[in-house]
Amino acid sequence: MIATLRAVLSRELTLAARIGAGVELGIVFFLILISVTPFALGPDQKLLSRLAPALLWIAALLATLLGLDRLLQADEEDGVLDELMLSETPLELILLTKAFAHWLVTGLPLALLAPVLGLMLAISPAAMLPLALSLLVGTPALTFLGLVGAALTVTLRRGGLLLSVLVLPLTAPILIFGVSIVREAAEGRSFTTPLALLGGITLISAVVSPVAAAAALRFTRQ
Amino acid sequence: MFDFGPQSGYIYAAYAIFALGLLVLLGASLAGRAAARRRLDRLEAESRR
Amino acid sequence: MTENSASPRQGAPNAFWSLANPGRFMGYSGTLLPWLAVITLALLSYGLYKGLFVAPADYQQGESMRIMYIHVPAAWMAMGVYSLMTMSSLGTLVWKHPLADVSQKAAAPIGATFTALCLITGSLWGKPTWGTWWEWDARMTSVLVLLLIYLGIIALWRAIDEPLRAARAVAIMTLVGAVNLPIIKFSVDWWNTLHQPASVFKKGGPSIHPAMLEPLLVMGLAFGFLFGCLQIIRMQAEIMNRRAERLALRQANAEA
Repeated sequence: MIATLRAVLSRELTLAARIGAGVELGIVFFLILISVTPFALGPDQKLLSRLAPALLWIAALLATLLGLDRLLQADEEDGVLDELMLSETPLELILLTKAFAHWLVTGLPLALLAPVLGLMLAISPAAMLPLALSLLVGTPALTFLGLVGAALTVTLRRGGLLLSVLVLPLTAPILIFGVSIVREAAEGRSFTTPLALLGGITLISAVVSPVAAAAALRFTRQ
Repeated sequence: MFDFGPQSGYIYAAYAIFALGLLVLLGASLAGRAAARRRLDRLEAESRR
Repeated sequence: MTENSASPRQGAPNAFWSLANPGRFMGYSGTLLPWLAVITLALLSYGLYKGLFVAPADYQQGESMRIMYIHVPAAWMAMGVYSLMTMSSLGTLVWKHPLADVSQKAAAPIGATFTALCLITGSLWGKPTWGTWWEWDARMTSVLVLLLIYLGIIALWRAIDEPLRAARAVAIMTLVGAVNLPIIKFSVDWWNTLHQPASVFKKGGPSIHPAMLEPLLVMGLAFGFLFGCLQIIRMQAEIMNRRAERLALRQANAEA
């Protein structure tokens, strides 16, 4: 079983490295969003600095959402999904591995890149490391939630928008706590409470989402 | 009309929107059911022929 | 999928399965509906009369608190309908009850309407009382999230053509979104926010004046019966639509 999961993981990472369209595109999208917001908001440093945590988190959220249909769509079209579902290894673990691999190439780079981009938004120095931390802890939860949405919409032709509609309302707590971590840090206060809550959400979604997604795949694909 | 004091406007607006919303929902539901019935009757008549 | 079997399955009471036959459901519901409608009208009339004209105005808020008599029952329905949809989802996925998915599909727009009405009437109550149309506090935000989840579920119904697959997808989505319900209920307790804390459903019983409690409970009951009427109408429509679909399919096959 471990061998199968390791194979799934390495296959995901190899595909991502070769095709690359998903990984780099997500990062470029993130960069473009952050560059464009000051055009809309104006150059007022104080305003940008106050909004920076929220803008960076929203950009990370949107970049993650856009990459989500890559999670299952390609495998569905190639018939690989059917094979995976027939494997002896539990589907839940396979999906967990796929989601983790997806996060490694989407959420993780965003989390590491965000503090650098934050400089463009005049983010307070005290908030830079907490920002990266909040994204490191929170973006996996976004990917796991997205896994459920992807499983529900995998058979639809243009399910991307519907996927976002289904997933976005459920990401509200992640967004709230994630931004709260950065804001508390920027104002010099302790951020352990929202960090713990965010961590809790990620852990719970890591368990619930593969189960729900596996159920969705089994029940909706005959 | 009955005067509720300075906040009357809000009270009327709230109750009016509530009534409107529920009437629209009721109307749409009844219309949908009538359309379904017509469609079913038509198909049943055709299948008997 | 055999839907004409009214045979009981293990572990479920007979009455539960006697309604599983859509034909029988149409019969029972058709008889029941006029009675429900009459009761609904009676309760609504009494509740509205008492709430608008007889019950006292609030000491601090004044007359605007009369909006409570539609805002709060709407909130109860918003969450109650979602709870019903959650149970129907279990009915679809676990027990494979033939009418569970019909019930789910019928309820979603009703719940969404109640949720939207709750938010709008709440906003109209908030403006004269606390000065703002909207606040991003815990309860308002989570009820807004509930509305968005409803809308997503309705969108998912429309996206998948085959009714049985759609039902299962929606069932899973409903169960995932159900995590929002306890958040709504307890958010006003967990976070000290603008929206007032629980005054009816709490330990020790309601803390609201009995002259205000009575119209509130009557309206709550009225909304419940109203939901029953709407649900029956919508379920009947869905059952007829599915029968029509099958007939159309059969005819198309016969001609081919």
